[in-house]
Amino acid sequence: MKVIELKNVSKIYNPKGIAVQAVNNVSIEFSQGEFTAIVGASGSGKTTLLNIIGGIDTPSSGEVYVNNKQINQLSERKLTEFRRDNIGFIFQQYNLLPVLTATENVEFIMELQGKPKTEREARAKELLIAIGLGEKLNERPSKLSGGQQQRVAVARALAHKPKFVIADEPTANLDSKSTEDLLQMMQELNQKEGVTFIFSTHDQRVVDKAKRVIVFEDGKVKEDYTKNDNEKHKI
Amino acid sequence: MKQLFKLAWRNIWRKRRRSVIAIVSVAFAVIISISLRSLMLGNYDKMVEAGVKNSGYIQIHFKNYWKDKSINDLIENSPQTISTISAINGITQIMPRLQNFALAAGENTSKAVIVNGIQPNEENSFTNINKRIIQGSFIKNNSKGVAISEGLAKHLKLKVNDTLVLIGQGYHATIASGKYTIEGIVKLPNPQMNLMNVYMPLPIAQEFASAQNMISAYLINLNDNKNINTIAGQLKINLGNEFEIMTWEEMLPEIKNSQKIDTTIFTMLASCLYLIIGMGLIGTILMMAIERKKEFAILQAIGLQKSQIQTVILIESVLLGIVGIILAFTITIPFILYMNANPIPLTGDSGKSFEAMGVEPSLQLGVKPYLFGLMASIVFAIMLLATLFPILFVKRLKTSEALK
Repeated sequence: MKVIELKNVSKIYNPKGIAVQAVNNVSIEFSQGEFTAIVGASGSGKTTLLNIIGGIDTPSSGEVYVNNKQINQLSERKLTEFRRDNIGFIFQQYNLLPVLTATENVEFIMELQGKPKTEREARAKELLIAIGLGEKLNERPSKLSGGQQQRVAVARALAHKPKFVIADEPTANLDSKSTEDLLQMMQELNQKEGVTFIFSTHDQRVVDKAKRVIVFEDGKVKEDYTKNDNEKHKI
Repeated sequence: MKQLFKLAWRNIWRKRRRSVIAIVSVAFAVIISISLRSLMLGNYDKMVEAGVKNSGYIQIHFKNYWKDKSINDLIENSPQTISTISAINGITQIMPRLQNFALAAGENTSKAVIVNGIQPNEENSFTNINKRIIQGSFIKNNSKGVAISEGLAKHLKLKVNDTLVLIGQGYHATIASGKYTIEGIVKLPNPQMNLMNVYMPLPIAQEFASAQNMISAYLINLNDNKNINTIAGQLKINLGNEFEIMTWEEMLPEIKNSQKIDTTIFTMLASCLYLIIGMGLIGTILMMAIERKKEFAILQAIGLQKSQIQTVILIESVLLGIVGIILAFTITIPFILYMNANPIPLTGDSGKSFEAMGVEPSLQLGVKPYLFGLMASIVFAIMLLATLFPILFVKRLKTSEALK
């Protein structure tokens, strides 16, 4: 089932009056349950594409649909509500709220949605235990390792059961063990709960785990294939 | 809202030292401004009290009496007038006075004096003039003698039981003259007044001026100075145009002027203080926002509306302000109460200058509850103004750019 559709999407930035085309006439679709890696060199437009898909940025031209709803026409307020209810975000720098505990961070979006406290707490605890942080429920991010923080970030992204999760280089700051654990965890969530994941990454280990790989270059899709097409593809 | 409040409260304590500095700045501004203003108003109150104790809160005279203070412009001391006056709420005391000017003579010298015809028992309860006695005893309602001020006694070289000779103009061009035994000598705080006052019971003064049952003024005492203009207005209506109704502010304009000058000085000082503190707070609050630029972007990305982020910032500012104000009140309230109950005595030239104005020579802080509300409101306004900058900062924030 098609979850996301981009039609002829372009994004042009004008920093200091110089036009830079970050995304150039991209049309692409993502289906429910995909585990997709977007790869490409720095500056290729991966993050811009993710931001457009996630409604953080708006395209200069083209259309973006999520569940057949055009999101690039929404007002800022509606778009924020849309992100809150439909998308989970995982960032490279974890970006947990430092003043909240692990549980409170995971509960945060659910609380914004107005879900009852008991339901929030149960869901946060369930997720944190599932990702191996049952002992760290009440720890603040500063007391957690990088890998643990990123796992909390994953739990936060999944807590409100979003339609899909966007992860911008989620393993960039993790060691091998943490990367392996995180990928395994996300794969399980993808397989068991059918959560759609879209990554941008430089990390070969992420590419290896991805079911679909989109190679991005100069703001354009250079290659787009599933592992059945080319199992041995490397970037 | 609870979620935003929790976030704001914890954010405040993220950079504990900086928040403490901001809180202390707020507290400092409030403490200094309230204490300074309390000191000014405390002294002002004492000046008013000293002035009012001599003049009353309101005086009722014959029309145009105040301009010339002529012995010919008197009013009748009538029960009907007293009844009309006392019918007005808020008036606690009515004291008739007959004031006249005369030449006082001792054995070898003479001096121009003010002859005050008073009801000693009633005056004592209001002006406490009997407590200023330094020789003999103060006159009573049925006395036949007089009390004179210390400076005058020295000038005329007179003491208790000596005879004072008075000569002057009486009512309607009569000659006023008499010899009176000095029953007591009072020391008045104002050196000028201390040189020229004679006190005698009202009937004796009326006899001296040949003004039977006539007085120059009713002195009116009130239970609350706040109602003075209302009461003065009612008196004007009830007594009619034959009477001149004057409040102490009209009779003692120098006190009001002094207050205006003090208020101007305070406003300038407080403005400078609040400007400095305000700039510091703007810097702190803006810094608190700018360094969280990426965090705000994350919050917005995961679903917090910009208005909610702005609310968090506003709550942070308000909380900083509230904590600062609570700290300031915690220090200022006991300090002001203590300084009000235990004024610092002034000695030397400062003390003398206070005494010269008839004011007790001490620094006493006035207890003015409204000051707390006023200063807290000003600080709050500054905090809100300081919050405008980060609120605008968030409004202009572009999530995708801030995330980079």
